[in-house]
Amino acid sequence: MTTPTASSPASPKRRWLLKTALVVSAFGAAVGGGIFWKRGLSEGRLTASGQAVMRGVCLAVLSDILPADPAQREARVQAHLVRLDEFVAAMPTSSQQELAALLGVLANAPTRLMVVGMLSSWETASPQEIHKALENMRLHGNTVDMLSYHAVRDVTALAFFTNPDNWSLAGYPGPFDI
Amino acid sequence: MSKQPDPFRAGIERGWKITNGAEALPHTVNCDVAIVGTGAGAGITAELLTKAGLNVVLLEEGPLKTSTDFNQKESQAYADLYQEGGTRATLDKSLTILQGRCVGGTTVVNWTSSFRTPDATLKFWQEQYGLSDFTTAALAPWFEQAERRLNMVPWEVAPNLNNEILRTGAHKLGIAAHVIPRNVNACWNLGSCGLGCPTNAKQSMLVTTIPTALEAGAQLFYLTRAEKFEIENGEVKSLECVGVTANGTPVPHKTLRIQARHYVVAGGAINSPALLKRSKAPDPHDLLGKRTFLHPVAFSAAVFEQDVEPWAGAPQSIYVDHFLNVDPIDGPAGFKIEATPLHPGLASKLMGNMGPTLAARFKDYPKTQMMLSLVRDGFHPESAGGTVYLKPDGTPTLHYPLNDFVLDAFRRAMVAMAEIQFAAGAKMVRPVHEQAQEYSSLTEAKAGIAKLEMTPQMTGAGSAHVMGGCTMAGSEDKGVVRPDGLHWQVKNLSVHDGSVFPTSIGANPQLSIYGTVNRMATQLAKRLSGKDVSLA
Repeated sequence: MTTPTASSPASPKRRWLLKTALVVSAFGAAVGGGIFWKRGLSEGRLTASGQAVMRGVCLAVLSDILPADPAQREARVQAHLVRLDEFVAAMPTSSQQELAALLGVLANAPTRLMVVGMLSSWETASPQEIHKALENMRLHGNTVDMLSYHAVRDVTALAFFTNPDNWSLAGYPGPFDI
Repeated sequence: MSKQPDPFRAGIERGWKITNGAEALPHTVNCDVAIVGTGAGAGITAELLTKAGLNVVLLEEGPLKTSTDFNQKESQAYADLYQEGGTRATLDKSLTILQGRCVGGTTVVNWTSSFRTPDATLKFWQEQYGLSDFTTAALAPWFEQAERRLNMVPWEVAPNLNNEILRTGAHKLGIAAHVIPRNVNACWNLGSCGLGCPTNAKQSMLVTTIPTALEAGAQLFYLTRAEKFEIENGEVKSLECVGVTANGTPVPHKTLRIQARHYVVAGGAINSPALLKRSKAPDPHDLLGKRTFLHPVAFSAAVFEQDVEPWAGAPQSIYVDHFLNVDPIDGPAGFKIEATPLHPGLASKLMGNMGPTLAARFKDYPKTQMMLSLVRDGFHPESAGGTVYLKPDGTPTLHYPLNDFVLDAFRRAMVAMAEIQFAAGAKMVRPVHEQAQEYSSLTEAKAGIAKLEMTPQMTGAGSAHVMGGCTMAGSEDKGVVRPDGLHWQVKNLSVHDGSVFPTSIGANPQLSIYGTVNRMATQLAKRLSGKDVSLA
């Protein structure tokens, strides 16, 4: 057996404290709300600014899965935003609060720049621009960046691919009718 | 919606005593035994106690859904049947946790794999936790009864390709692969086990012990959260409960006070220690919620020439234990290899990445095989597991550091899985890791995996097995509960679920819970009623 290394500089305990400090400072500020005017969720549903973030993430994460035809593509995106509200509603209140805080961080320009590194707003950024920013968070970010990427990426993917209306886009034939 | 017969709904129509706590709750209920939870431990306990003629109340925080409701859709299953709508994760979100939250608990959504507690695990418990009565021989009859009651037998149908690839690859490498015993009866081989069995073939608590207990007069309250015990002088005086909505939000003015002779906590690991923490239960040795284990899981995707259809057929029917036995149990962590069923939502999580890359991965989805390695945690000083904390609203969260010890096992597991997948004929293998590439040969995979930064967030990790947090031990300085499940400091309180395990199991834990709790509950029934009862 080897000896535990709880007191070493690289110990999990130390890393945990560092991560906690980062997360608390970023998200705590958003929850406090004093400097942020755009909130991500209200009464368990996406706000307009929350929708803008998730729409942008959807276009980047699902880009080549969505139909090429603009009208069909837009219809899928709109349906996805409706599905997101349903998905969020199943989450407990505390998780909704975490997501609301994160979307607040991503929606407001100063913290969007800090976490996403994107100058353009979610409404004006191109899917390629958003993809590039998310890719940077995915591979080269600090803990908060990576955590933020996974949160919005996974909520997007899970809400989209668990929706039976999108099974055909996934290549899943659906279950047996019993 | 399933059109198959639904015995549970038939029972409701016959007058089973079932109450939706979100709609109405009586002010007070008196009973012999209040059981918190309706999963593996709770179900076995309820059946045995009602057989002994005891007046039992069951409390379930989640909703009541039965086979008629099970439509094989992830959208509905995650929202209705899983903790936190399917989004439960460790505190730093580096590890997702699939855990049930409904009448029947995780037994409603598990993949039916049924293993007795391995001998090596039991020996460790005997030596390190004073559990002298936890020998393979002593537990054998308790497991045997549970296996008979729940029809656990090795799967006789041909494995689906997702599992057959594991067997083929292992055999080509000269590694033993075995057939998994499953708790099913007249299984349709649909592959929807994780979404609630629509044919009632799976012998979950929803279709076995809970109906038996209800038929014998037990009362069930669902959408009803056990909020906290009132504990005085080493004795529980009452249990305060509150009605909750489907997502767990308390409903104002819907409260229930239960007064019982005895109380059994069986809400599952994470939830059971959280209830005891909310109740400020005595914890003189600071053990409560500590040593919570997950069998952290690493994944490896492989693409084959032929269609694998990883969503179809019995989810798990083949396993490989070779890598559990390479090192001593208290050495570098070993791992058990199994297959991972992939419905589109879970696939989207495990495929990772986004944009054109995600689209390309989904193009290969029907030809994708997904393997998993569950890491045996809790046997080494650097594998102390996680700790349950309470959020400001009283709900639990688990901090589980995905540390270098676990991640070292992940790296070895990724290589092992790639080797098996290539041996079975994979065209491409890709470990679930943000930096992983698509490797077309084992040499390439080994070189690639060696370079991966094994850090939380970067490394894909999940769990469907939550254990520990209310450790049982032969002495009070090492355990929250005694070997018979009775709390060391509170005389009329027991814990009967996977939270009592001192380490992880090293195998899918449902049968370990059934067997352990079978003995605990049989002893409790005798103590409270004077009667001898038996599960099967």
